[in-house]
Amino acid sequence: MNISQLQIISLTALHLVLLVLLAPIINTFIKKVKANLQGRIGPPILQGYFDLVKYFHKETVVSNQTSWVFLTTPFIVFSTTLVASMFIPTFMTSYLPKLFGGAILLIYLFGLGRFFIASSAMEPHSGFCSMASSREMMLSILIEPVMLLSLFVFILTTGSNNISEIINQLSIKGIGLFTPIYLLTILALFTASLAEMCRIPFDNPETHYELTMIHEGLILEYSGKNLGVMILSSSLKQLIIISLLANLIFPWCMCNNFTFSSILLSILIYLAKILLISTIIAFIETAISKVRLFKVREILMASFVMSIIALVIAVQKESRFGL
Amino acid sequence: MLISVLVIPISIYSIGYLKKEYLEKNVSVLGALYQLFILSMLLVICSGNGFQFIIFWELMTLISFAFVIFDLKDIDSQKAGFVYLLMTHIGSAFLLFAFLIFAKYSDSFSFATFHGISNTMPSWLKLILFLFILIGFGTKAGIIPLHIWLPEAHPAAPSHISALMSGVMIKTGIYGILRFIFNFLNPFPYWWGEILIVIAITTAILGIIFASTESNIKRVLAYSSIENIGVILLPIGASMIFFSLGQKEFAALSLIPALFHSLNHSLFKGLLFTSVGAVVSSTHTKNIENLGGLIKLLPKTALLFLIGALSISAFPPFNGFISKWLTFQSLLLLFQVKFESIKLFAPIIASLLGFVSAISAATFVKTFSGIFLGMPKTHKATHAQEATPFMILSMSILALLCLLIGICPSIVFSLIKPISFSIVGLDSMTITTFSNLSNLNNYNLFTNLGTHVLSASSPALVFILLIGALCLSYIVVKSFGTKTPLRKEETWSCGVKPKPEFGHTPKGFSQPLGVIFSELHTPESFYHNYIYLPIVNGLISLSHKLKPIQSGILQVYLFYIFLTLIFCLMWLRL
Repeated sequence: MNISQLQIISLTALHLVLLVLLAPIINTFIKKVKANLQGRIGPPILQGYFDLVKYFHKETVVSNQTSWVFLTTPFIVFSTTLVASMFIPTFMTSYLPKLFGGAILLIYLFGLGRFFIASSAMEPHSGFCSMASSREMMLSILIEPVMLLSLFVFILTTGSNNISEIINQLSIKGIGLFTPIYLLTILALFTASLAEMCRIPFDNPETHYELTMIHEGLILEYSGKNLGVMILSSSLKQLIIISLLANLIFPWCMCNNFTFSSILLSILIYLAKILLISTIIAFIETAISKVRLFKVREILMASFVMSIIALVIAVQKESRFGL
Repeated sequence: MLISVLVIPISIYSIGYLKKEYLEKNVSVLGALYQLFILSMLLVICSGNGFQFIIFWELMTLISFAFVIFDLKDIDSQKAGFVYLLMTHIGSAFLLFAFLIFAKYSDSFSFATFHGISNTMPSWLKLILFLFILIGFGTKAGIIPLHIWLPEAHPAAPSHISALMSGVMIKTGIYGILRFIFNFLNPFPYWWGEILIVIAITTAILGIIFASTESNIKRVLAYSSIENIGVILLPIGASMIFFSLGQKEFAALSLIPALFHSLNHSLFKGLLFTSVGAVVSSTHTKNIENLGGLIKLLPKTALLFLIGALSISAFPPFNGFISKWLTFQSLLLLFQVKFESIKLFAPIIASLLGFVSAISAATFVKTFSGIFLGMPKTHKATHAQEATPFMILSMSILALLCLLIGICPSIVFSLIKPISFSIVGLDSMTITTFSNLSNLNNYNLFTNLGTHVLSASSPALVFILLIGALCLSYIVVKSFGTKTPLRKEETWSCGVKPKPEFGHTPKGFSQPLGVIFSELHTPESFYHNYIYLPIVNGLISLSHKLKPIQSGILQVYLFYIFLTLIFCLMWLRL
């Protein structure tokens, strides 16, 4: 690959713009597929944009209990998500991550955003927000070890900490990818990702009932532009996770040269990948109902155990045959 | 080095703090004790002789005991002082035993002769020594279940002393463990490292779970110190495994996060204790349940506490992230060891470390929002005043250091690398071997550490990108959409005027955690009832049985002395 500095920058810019533009569409797409499965028509595919435009033209009202933490949180959350999206593989494996911490940094960037969301939700001193905040932190405690352990399986079997490098190594393995190690790990990672994306069975993104919501409760007191930024960053985060999953499951067809046709082709393939994952999510959301809050622990423990089993197999395989 | 870094800002802080808090009390005594305390900690590190070491160690303990009971009228701090004194003396007794065994084999108390002396010892004796040292220093460092003095003693002492005790004094325990294990007890079998890792992760998990459900601010910080000691011990355990298997380069690499985290922990724990001290001195309560909304009254302290909280929860632009990231790397490096058990166990421990840091994030969301955000829950929180300029200055120094180290960790690497290499007994390695190591076996986990340039650029780049994205998103949002100004309204609470009771209290916040960890969350009384009480009861009944010997008749005592004399003479003859 001989790509110049300028081309890297323009590709990265394209990658970022694509992610930010796609994020609301993917969010609406999942809603649409769900609606169709349930026999409804569902929102138009550009509804995400209409909502954002609406929020940006509304007046911003904040609680008089709040301080600068509440007002800066939307921007901090958005920028952590944006930085995280820089080293996520989309239609190409990103060139930036050579300088980054990789997978662990990704988890901790999400953590930073979550710290601020949860703190800001405590600010208006409303019962709904603070309940959501407490639940969000509890969920994060259960999600993080599962996410980390399943990423560690990838890190250790590919010998790299770098997400792009992991994808490259996986794509070399070819059909060898469909082994119990990866299937179990992907399953565990997928479950944890559903929780991280605030999806059923962990959280219900559709309702505003105080007893079921987690993420919706966190942003309950936001309005106007701030709400718009919050919603955009949460759908961007969702798209990041979907892209990561999609590329870990299908690590092929990455754009690796700078011609118009290959970029276009890989973007189309990337779109197909993420639409497939989104459809799977919509199916899951239709088929399963939200579980009770404290049952979540059991689901996540099960996926933790799955990654441990994958690790056992990987260790055994490595000591018998080498990697 | 570690000590003096923290001492300077703390001293500045104490000027402001003392003026405010202890005006009527005996400030000069406290000042003198304070100086002695710092001196004794330095002497502990510098002593090259077992005898000196024990004496300075005891001096350090006794002076800090004086701080714990400084509030003489308070019955709780007296109790805390008693527990503290008792526990640390048990620890010291174990240390003394260990020293005596060493001295017996080396015929001297000098540390120089302790070197490599364990070659002449039988392996069971080495194991006993290892356990004694672990108990002795572990009591000081606060590993579970020897930690019970920590959450009692830290809240009782004045805040700047708590900062020193938590930031530096418990690190002397770590220093002792490092020095004794790597210098005096080598070679040792690799499963000692496993033992240490298991102890460390238990300490970390239990420590942070206690912290998450605690509502006394200073106890939260004390428990989180216990957690951080666990985090520091983890890479030490990994390093021991590498060391015993002869992979000294990896051992040195794995020690770096331990030393780094020790430094970082002193910085951010110092920052947290001092800012909590500012809160406590202006509100006169340590209970989070009584606080709230202080961000409006103490804006600077709130910002500084937030920086400390973000650092301790290991979030990217701050120093905690760097050392935690390195700890992850050193645990993942263990995957190279040829034993399958270690291969399996290292990533699981690493993911548990992720679990620990997630709980610590939850804990500090609770603490930060409980103290500074929302509505004030009692009138105590409505009349608070901002900290004095001296206190703000010292806290700002610590906060800046946290951020600076988080952005350019290479400054610290260059300081720590020689220390870590000298501990494992390697001569100073050049950077080339360092980067060769990183590519070894195609495990380029340490790539970012490979050269100085990269190690500096990666966290700095993240920081720059974060700030850039922040500014960009702010400008974009400001320039589009409506220009109507912000409107402030009361929080909607179903048509009722909002009351302080409406939001979650910190206790309510951590209730789901308590439910989830109900199996793990053993109350403090567990340790008292099941570990310490049997020992205490045993001792009491033993002394009751020994009572008849102490008859109080002078002739009988003379008889005892006579018997002892004969016994000693016979011993010498043999």
